[in-house]
Amino acid sequence: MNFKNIKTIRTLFAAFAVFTIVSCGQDNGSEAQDNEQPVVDSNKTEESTGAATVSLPSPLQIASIFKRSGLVYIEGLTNPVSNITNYSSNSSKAVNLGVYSSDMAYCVLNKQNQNSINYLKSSRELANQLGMGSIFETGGISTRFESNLSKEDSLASIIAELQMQSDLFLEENELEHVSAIIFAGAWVESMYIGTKVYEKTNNEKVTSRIVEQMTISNNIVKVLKSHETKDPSIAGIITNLQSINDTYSNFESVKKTAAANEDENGDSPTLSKEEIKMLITKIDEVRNKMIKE
Amino acid sequence: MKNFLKYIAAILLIINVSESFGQCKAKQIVKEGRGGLKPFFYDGYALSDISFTDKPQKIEVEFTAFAKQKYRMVFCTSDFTEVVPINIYDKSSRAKVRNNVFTNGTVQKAIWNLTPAKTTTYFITYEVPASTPNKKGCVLMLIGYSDASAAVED
Repeated sequence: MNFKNIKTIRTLFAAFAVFTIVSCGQDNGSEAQDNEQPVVDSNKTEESTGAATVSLPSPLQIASIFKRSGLVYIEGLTNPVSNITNYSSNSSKAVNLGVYSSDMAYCVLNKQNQNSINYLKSSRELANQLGMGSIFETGGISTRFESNLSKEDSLASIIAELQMQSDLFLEENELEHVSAIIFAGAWVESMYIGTKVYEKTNNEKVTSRIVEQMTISNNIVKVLKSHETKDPSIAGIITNLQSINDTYSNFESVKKTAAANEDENGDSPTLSKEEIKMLITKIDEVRNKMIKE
Repeated sequence: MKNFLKYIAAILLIINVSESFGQCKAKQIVKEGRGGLKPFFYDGYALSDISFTDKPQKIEVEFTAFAKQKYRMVFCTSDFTEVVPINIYDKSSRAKVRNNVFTNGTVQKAIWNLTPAKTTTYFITYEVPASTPNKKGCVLMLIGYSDASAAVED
């Protein structure tokens, strides 16, 4: 061994310390094919090791789903930016960061440029207060947002990137529970906007989207419960969301459909007018509680 | 000689610590994989830690795809080279019978495109083989969605 090569050893050591093997699928035409004829797996399947990881959609995706169903813009529906002064606890800031994220997506997709900027600023302010303001500066997101105000697709792309920066920041700082709280606020706000627009327009497609969103409501509660010990405020958020789930699952139409379905992927229920009204009232109640604190 | 031995000890310590501590962070993996999402918008990811044992195991991810929305999933791995096949089902492992809607993929190579006709919860299963006990790594499923047109930003 040549001890004069200590410098080489040092370099190799440093390279080893940072080297991580990462491998990803490449879109080069060699992707695995979807099964055109699904293969029935009729063997008794082994249970998985441990609980399944649950993946939740982004507020932007939820907003775009509603938009495709004809969700129009109605002035005054969103949480006023002036309410930002109400939020003193980290929990209320995180919840309303989610609320404002949904409001921003709603405004962007409906080409409400000034309101979009207002919600960007409010979101940034709450993020700053939560110690995550840097996500708005990564890649010049704020500047790019303002430069692309007239381009809906570009703004959507920027919001998606902001979502990614937020997810990575929270994961890196072991704040996944904050991510769950933010999502809870965003989801309730999306549902609130959807139900309010339905009230004004009677657009049945919007109702279908509302029912569709209820398929993930149990998963939101599941994810929150997995983080319950990390923040005492999560219990209250779970109670609020569970009250929406309980209202929904007690509807006759939902009970009948659940009984007829073999599993979670069966037909969706068709809510009666009365049931829709009850759901709207419950979502209203939960949402107003969230934005007042 | 003393300094050389110190270096060797440090290297061995790092190897030992990284193998026992080593559950990975998403940032680098997402950075590597996000190119595969284009032209879809980033929607999120599901990170699954793997701790190998001397027995095979299954790790499950649950994902709800909304009706008529287009999705792309890019699978990435970190810190291991074992071949881990992926199977995707339309029901959970508790179901007696379920459809396998995606096969022939492994976590190192797979991309899954789908546009479900109706809102469906999928159960992605990583078939983790037996390997060196306590060896650690992770699988990240990167999720993108699209309405119609790709985002083009100035």
